[in-house]
Amino acid sequence: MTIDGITLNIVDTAGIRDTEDKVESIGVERAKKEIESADLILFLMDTSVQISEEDIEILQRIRDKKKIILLNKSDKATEESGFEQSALKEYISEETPVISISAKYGDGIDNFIMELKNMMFHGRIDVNQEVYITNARHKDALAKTYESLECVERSIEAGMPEDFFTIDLMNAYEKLGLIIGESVEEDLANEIFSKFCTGK
Amino acid sequence: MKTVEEYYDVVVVGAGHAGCEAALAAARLGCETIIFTVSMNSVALMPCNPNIGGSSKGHLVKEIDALGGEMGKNIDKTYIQSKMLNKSKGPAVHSLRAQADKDAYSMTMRYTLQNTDHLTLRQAEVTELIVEDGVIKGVKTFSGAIYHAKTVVLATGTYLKARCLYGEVVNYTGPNGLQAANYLSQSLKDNGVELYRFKTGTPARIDKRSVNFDVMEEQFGDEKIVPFSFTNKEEDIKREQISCWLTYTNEETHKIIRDNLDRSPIYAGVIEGTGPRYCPSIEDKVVRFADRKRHQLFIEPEGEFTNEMYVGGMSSSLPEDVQYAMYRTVKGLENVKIIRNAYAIEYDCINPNQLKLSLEFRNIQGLFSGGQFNGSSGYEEAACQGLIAGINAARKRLGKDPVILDRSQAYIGVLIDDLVTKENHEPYRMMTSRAEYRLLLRQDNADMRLTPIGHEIGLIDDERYDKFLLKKEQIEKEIERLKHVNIGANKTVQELLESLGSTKLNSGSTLEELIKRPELNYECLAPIDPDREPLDDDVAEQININIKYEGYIKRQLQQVEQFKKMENKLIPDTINYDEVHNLRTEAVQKLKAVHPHSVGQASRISGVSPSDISVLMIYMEQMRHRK
Repeated sequence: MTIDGITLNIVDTAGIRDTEDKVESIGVERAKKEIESADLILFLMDTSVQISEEDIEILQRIRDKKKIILLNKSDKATEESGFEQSALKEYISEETPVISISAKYGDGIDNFIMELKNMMFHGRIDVNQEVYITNARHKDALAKTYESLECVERSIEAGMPEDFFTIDLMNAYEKLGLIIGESVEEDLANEIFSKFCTGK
Repeated sequence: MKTVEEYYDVVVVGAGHAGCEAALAAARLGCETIIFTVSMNSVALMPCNPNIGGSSKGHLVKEIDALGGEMGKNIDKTYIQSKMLNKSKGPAVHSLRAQADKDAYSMTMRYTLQNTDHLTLRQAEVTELIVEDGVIKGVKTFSGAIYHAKTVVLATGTYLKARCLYGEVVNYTGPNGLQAANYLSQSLKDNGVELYRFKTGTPARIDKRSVNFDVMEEQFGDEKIVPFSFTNKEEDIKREQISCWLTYTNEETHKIIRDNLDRSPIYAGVIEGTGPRYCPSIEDKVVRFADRKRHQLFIEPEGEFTNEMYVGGMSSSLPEDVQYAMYRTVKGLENVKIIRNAYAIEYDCINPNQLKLSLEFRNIQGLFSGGQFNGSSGYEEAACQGLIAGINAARKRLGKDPVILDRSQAYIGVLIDDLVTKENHEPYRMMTSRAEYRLLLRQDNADMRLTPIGHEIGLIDDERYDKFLLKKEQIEKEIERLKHVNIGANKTVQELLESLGSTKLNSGSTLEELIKRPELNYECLAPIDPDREPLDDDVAEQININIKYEGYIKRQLQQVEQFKKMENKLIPDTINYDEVHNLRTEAVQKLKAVHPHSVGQASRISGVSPSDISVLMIYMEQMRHRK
């Protein structure tokens, strides 16, 4: 997704906890891996309940990662709920932003976005400098472009007339066009209908 | 007063290259057909260059022939020199061109028309269309005679409100001093047809005896003659050829032109029509390519029994005295005598966006058109449209669906799609670069692509079709055989390979693999292929090309498959573009104007962007869901 020009690839992981359930444990393993490779962790905590041991475990796991702690359900947070924000201090550094939000009512989301942009633009998030391809379709198009350009190269080396290598050059052009919207493939509508319900 | 009244299935207006093909096709498909010409002496007239074919135009002629048209046969009968152009380049751009004996070309075509069943050739000027409730009913001639018809094909060429100009001289005639057609334009306008005004031009004709050929380069024809018609073999048409001659303009020529530009009707603003960028006058060349010190000129014979020579590359509308002065600066033309002046011609034609891909007018049922009337230039471009218009006019009469060739099937398909779909503000000329699938649309395989269609239409008889099927079978069988002929690394083989500049074999190979090597071909491997049956040249050529370029051909076929998917997404006739949300206003206007047949065609309209196409496809999908 893109927020104010910043392209984010967000992974919603499973909650991390000990489990005997096989399927769930796969999810947990995957979540742990994602934590390793992520540039930024958004740790969502439920403030309507007490901080659990599992929460602590996660905080320890992400101790060395860039992170934003999101205290969700701010609308429900009361003294009775027993959530002690001060207890977090032990696990996070002073610069780590802690933001109260209500996903339900949208409170605090602006603050969150502001903080996210701050971190991005002030270089506090060490984004991998390699170019990311965030869309499987684009990745496929680029791979095919590369293949076609290799064909072009081989044809030119073999001294083929231009009508031959233009075939592959056109293929490359068409595929690149798909990424920047200069060409349209016939299955576009199907693609869109498979992803969204555009209504009747 | 009593007037003449006759009844026909198909009326063809104009007997140029488009009209002749249209009339022959309609008559051969069994329709009672009449074709009108302003003069019996101008049937299939070549008022400009004395040749048929050339780059990409040669492709068109071969396609016309493969479909059962006449142009290829007619030029094979009347050529005086033949040449395969671009032979140093790939097979996609090889193009056949023949110099014609103009008079013979015209007379031979007239003879064919006059001896075709169901066809009447009539000298008269058509002045009016008879249209009732948006349906064509016939035509009226200058004398008031009425010709009722089920369908009409307009092929008026450059005759509508034509005027010829050079310098201050203006003649209100068609080409070559022939009578112009001055009334039909008004009738077209009255029926809501949008007209354009185009212009084109032609160089002077000069007296052969006044030319010094000694200082020019002689241009010979090919030794090996490739016929235009697939029905002819080399030995059927081989004859002695006549040379053309190459010379050049020079800076003195250019100076004279520049000094007199203000006397050119085009630069003086007398001519309002738009000329062809791809066939510029010498004035245009000198102005547009100011840094060029010389331009090529080809001095070409106009026929066997005339002293007239055509000065190819030097069309002009400058005044007579300037013409003399500039032609006489050219090496070899120092004492040249002009027989006919160079001139520009201006004429009415239509905005072809008003046509369907069948070449029928969208708003006048049963009215078809082809040729320069549709805004094209060139004999070959005209002929192929005439053929398609004639076929579809006949089919409409016979209650059959129109024949539409697409861009992956033929140059004819590219040409018609371009005319009908794209904006065209100058005479349209065919070029190989306009075709996306050039490697498939070669001149050598036009019969493979189109003869089955010609047979189905009914213009290719069973005898010719059987011959075609045999050829096809020979090609397929031989390719299959070559895949299975194993060649060992023996002494004879190695020696042959070495002598042909090819790498020796390490182990065995098949003949097919050897043919794929760039330096080898089917022909040169004959010595190590003892089981080979003798095959005709054109069969061998297909085998060679299909094997050598198999990979490329396959990849181009995949592109065609993608293309067809978009072409097959048909846009319903009832679509209301105003209802398609998010379509840009410009796109709505363009789509309404062209009324595309498919999403593929829509995507080629200038002013319709890829995102408009996405929007359109989503809308169509929603409509489909709604049903």
